[in-house]
Amino acid sequence: MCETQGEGHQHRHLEVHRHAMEANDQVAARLRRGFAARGILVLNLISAPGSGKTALLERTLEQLRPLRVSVLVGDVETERDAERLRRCGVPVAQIVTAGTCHLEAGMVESHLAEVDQRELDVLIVENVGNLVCPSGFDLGEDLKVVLVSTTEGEDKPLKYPAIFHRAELALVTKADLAPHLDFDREELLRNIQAVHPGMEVLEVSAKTGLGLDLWLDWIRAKVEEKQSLHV
Amino acid sequence: MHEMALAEELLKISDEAAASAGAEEVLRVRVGVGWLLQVERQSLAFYLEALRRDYPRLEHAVFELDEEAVRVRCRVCGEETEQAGWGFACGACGDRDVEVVAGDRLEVRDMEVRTDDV
Ligand SMILES: Nc1nc2c(ncn2[C@@H]2O[C@H](COP(=O)(O)OP(=O)(O)O)[C@@H](O)[C@H]2O)c(=O)[nH]1
Ligand SMILES: [Mg+2]
Ligand SMILES: [Zn+2]
Repeated sequence: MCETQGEGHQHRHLEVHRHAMEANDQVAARLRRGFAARGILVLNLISAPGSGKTALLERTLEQLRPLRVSVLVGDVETERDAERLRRCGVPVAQIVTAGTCHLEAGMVESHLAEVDQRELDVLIVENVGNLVCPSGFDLGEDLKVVLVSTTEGEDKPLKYPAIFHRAELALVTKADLAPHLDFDREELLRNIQAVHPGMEVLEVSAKTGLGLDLWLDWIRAKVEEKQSLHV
Repeated sequence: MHEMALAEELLKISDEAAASAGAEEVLRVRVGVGWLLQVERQSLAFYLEALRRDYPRLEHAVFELDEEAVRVRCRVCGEETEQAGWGFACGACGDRDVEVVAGDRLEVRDMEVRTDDV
């Protein structure tokens, strides 16, 4: 600590080394310990608005039975997505962020009581539609899944690399539309691999059901993995 | 990233550190901006300026925003190397099995403060 004398005051040098996400990360760590203790797999779904997160869940939640699934769905306003998902017969809690463009660990923690954690194998978090802000906020999840639809352009991974780097799996959604678009599938896959070499990619359509089996199998395998760690 | 929320956290941390050292005024704050976070430095600077009126100790502080490069440690050969872009790989052996060890944080590193004599 260097100190220099001034007129009636001193200048001091302080080593701080604290990071901006520490408050969020503390809550996330607490959540992660709680999920681990119960053997619950937690997935954090992230995409631009309208990439098809809710539609995909509508098509797949029922088929995950007998796994016990719950959803936390984040939106800037309205309960619409929660209402859509409740029709699938699973417990759903809506997190209205009132302007905030991402979910934070504290928001997840304060809504957890709305889904019964004792009776749960999988908790799926549908994040607020945004490819930038949610990527840095740890929610205590096991894995992030990024969705990119065929209508969004092949350069999305290059424009939003941080989320493609952090996510374990990329879902290319709305695969049914690909033949109707100037969609360059190879180019998108190349861009994903450039940002995240070896990244797992599944192509799905919530409309035709294409690829949904593989997505369901992927979830089931991750649940098994998580529960095998849970003694 | 969400620059406004991040600026608020940086101000809170700086103010807390100054208060616990008994400082009257903060002169300079050095912030490390990890490249991996893709924080817009201009936007961050804007929000630091706009939000600091709530923190009297920070009114005249100069915020230095230093970009911090990404560094990875290789799980195969153990070397630590700096990365120049996405698609991280070990700079020594080329293996992709690497762990990010720097450049993924937004951090208040250190600061200069003024304390009144007792
Ligand atoms: N053709 C087609 N449209 C889809 C598909 N998935 C979603 N959509 C449409 O895309 C729009 C946005 O979907 P939604 O699930 O609300 O997106 P979210 O904002 O990511 O939750 C809706 O109009 C959906 O009907 C798909 O697989 N194929
Ligand atoms: Mg939705
Ligand atoms: Zn190596």
